[in-house]
Amino acid sequence: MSPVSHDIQSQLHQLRDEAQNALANVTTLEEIETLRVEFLGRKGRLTNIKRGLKEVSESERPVIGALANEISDAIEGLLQNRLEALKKEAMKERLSKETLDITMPGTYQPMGSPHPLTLVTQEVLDIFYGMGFSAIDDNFCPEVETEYYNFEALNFPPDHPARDMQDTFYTNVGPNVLLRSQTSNAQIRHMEQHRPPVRVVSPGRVYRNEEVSSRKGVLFHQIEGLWVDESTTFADLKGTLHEFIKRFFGQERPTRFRNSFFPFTEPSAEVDVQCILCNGEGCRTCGHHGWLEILGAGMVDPNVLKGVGIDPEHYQGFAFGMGVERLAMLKYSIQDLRMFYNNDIRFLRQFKG
Amino acid sequence: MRVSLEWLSQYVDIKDLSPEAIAEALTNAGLEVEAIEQLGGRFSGVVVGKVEAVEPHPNADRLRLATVNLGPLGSNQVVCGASNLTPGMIVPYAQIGASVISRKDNQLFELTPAVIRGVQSTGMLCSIGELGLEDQFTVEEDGLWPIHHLTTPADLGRDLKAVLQLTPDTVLDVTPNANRGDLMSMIGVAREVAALFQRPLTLPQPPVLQSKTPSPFQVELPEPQVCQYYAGAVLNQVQLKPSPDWIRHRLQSAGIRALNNVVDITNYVMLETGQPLHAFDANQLGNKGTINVRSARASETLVTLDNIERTLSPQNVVVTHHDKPIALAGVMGGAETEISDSTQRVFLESALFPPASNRKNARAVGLRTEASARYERGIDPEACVYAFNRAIQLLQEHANASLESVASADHRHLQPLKIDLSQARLEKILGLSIPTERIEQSLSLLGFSMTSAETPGQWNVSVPSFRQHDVTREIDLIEEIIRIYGYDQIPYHLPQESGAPTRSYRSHLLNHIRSTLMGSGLTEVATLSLIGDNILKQTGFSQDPETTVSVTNSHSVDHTFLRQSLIPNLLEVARYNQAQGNESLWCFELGKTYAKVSVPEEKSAGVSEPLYLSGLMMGSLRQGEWHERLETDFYSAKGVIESLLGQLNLLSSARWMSETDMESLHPGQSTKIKLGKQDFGFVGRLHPALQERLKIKHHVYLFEFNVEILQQVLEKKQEQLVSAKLSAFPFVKRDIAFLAPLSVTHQQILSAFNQAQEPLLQTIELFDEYRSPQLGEENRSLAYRMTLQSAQETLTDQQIDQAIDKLKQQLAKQLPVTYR
Repeated sequence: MSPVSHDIQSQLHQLRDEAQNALANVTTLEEIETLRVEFLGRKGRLTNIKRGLKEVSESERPVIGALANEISDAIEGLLQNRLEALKKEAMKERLSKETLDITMPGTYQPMGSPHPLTLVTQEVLDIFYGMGFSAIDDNFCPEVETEYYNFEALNFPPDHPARDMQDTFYTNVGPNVLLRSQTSNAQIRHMEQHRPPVRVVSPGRVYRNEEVSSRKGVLFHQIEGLWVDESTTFADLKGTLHEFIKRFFGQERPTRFRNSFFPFTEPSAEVDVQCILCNGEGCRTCGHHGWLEILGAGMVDPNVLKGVGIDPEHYQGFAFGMGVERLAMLKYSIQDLRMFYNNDIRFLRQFKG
Repeated sequence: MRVSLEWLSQYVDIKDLSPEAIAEALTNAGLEVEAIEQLGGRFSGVVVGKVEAVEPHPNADRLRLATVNLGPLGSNQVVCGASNLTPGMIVPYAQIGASVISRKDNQLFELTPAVIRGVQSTGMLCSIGELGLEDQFTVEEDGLWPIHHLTTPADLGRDLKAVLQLTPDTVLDVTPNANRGDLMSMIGVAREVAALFQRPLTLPQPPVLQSKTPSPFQVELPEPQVCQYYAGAVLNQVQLKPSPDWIRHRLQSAGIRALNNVVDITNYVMLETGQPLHAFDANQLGNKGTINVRSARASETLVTLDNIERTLSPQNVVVTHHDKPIALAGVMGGAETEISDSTQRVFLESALFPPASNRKNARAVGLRTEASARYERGIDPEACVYAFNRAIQLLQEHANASLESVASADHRHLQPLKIDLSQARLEKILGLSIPTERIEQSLSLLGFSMTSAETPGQWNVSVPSFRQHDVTREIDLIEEIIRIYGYDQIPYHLPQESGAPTRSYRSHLLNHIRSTLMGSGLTEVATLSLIGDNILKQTGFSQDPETTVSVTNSHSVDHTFLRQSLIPNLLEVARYNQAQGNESLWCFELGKTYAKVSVPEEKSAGVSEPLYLSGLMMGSLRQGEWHERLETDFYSAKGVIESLLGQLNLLSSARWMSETDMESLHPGQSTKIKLGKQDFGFVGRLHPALQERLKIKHHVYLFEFNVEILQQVLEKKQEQLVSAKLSAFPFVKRDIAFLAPLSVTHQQILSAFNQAQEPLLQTIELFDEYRSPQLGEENRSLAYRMTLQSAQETLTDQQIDQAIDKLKQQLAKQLPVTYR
């Protein structure tokens, strides 16, 4: 190899070593750029060395040229490595500066909660939707009602004690206008407009002229159910309500159907479920009987069907009614009815839709 | 009603049945047993003891040592803490092994030998409570029960139950269904038990009376609607004395105090038969005269047995003697003609007063007695004769009475009631088949008689007089049969679902409203729809007196009329929560309001009940307040409504009116909203003066909307959504800022921009409002960001500038704005 070639060769090697040394001390991205220009720039040192190539013989030129390219790539590699390292370090530092106390609370607008009475009503309706019932809208059945729909059409005799002023609110609208004492007006109003088969549930507010206490109020919510068809039997009534209770309380529970009396059903039943708190052992909630009364039900009285022009010889069925507050109190262990209407936000926020 | 099982066993054999089994069967058949009580003492192993000596306890100040003489059983030493322990006392002594009642939990426990503070105590001296006899004996003092007056010296060491002649008995406290007047009697209950357990019923058969002497009394019933039957027997040579023990025990078991044989027998027969009876002192009636049952006259008075002078009204019904009231018919007798120690002649009344007039009669004087409780449910129209005979039989046996004469008047319509019953019908109603013999047996044990028709499974059933109140139709017979056969025999049958249920548009809408508002952070509340003047006064709201629905018979001034707005209740909720420490509250209610309408719809009561959506927001519920605190302001309240209207696709139909006429709202921070042309509701801040008066700490924001209008608008709209095609070309954002007087509203500005009808304009967004003294008090600077885009091409700078210029010019043309 000629001395010229040899000289260029050693210059190139030296350049690489110098670049390596220079990079070792670099701490900023700007300095790397400066070094890149110094070593590899158009007017840089490598270019400068490569100018000596023309002194090199034709035969040696490809070898030296290749070496120059190799050194160029090596320096480029060194620059790049250093650049990456510095970037990494910079990111690391930035990230460490941005570290948060991730245990501090997040920011959000909490969602509101449904009222427990809405929650229970929806749950009950959903169960009955699942059994093929449709719901009657709130605007279909008035709360301010005539005696006809609240009593007469429901087969209450004229001198029935429930019609007394002691128990029912009467209004200034007219002598026969009252606040409905049960959702059963829905039965009449629905059947006046629909022929069997009818299978409906109807939730709403009802009123009783009571002194307010932890167990009683001037109003409460009821859900009425009605199924009339050609051959809907007492066995269907038992099956439907048993299934409802199972789904509502989440498991199979003993139920008891007792004879009772309502003017608008015959035969009538009071439906008890084994106490969900003591499993029938007897406790304060169930009055030490082991049973909780949760529903009134029965076969629709023939007089009720006749009254809406449905022939009781051809159609029959059952009706039932339940108190939403009662169900909610049992389901959520609520001791005082007034909790529902005081609306303490801490109470309400426990219920999640 | 209290049912003694000892008494019940006179009519039906129940020896092999436990009280629990009887109670369960009755409860399931419609005679709910509320409680089972043991009478005659639950305790055992207690004897009569005499305290011979009392010494101090060596280790305790409050305890003493008593030496108790137990006669033939010897004597024992007992540690006792009772303060009334004195030497010479006769007391109940519980032996080792005795069962007495713990004062802690009212449960029986067995007595064991004990060492109390180092001294052996054998047995225990008892209080009346530890024996459970408080209801049967009266005591003067607390502590040990002194029983010297109930015992003789020979009784020492004898079993206390034997000494006190305590009859063990079990009492069922039962509540019959409201339509079962016949179950207000021992015989009625016995008949149920007989039918339920398929056993024969044995009833007393008093001799049918025939008096030969004409009565010195005449009975007149001018108003059959207040009295259908009246009989009065004159009994002479009556010996007034205490009743025999068995009558006294049975009255006691029923909770009725024994007085003397005459009164006791009238009560006894009432309990037995359900027919109330009354005994007058015949001498006080002058031993003759006209007995008349009629409506009372206004201001007529009568001193009743409880020695209260009652002023009567025409609602009352009285039994009169020579037109002078002597009893409140079927409710309570008069004091003047009461049986007394000197009574020798008795006028015994047995009458039938119909339920409706009897209820009015009792209510009018605020009384409810054993007699009225039976009449108001309706009693057996034939019992008045049977009970009469039964009472006379007992008076003859136990009061030495002799029947002199009977006067009566009868307006009863005793008609046999017969009903056809078909087995097929029964099975179709119940979904269950019942063996023919069980059907016949049940009805027969309940007192019905039946003849089979030629077709099998068909009967003609005669209803006994005591069931004619509640059994009038085939369906009633079916109930009787299944009640006795057992509801538990009916299978659970879950019918096949037929057809899917339909959920109404309204129920979807209400769910949508609820979930959107809950998503916005509002919690649902429920308040009473019956309110009173107080809440209106406190919250500064009023109702339209013309259309308010008032309740005419409320017990409470707080529940006198139906609400026309939910806001007063929500303000009360806010106050209540603030008092509980919940100063921040975002809540809503979906509830009805009520107004009388001038032209009622057919079949309607004449009241409209529109559903309202109302809300209240105050404070901040935002979590993470260290980060940023966002106190509720007008715009957060309005935002909740915009979000809701946006969800319902109605945001563009809403118009926000600057002028509101609501006195309870802040005039500058409230808006009425119109949907189309209809008034829909409002959002606004509670007037600061009202907030101050209510002592609420945070600003309060309220909203209220008529959901009916919302539903109408939505139902009219019902348009099918056609999704917009999104442009593939780049969008450009440009800002337009300007100075405008405060009187120029955002709504006006938007409307002006929109009138430029610039096709490239996609969205306009207000992104800044700036006020400062430099701009002048009357001005503000507003900045809007426009998004421009074409569906066909990439916009050139020229196109963009042209569009922005067009928008600026249109705005400046319509409104006094200055570009900066």
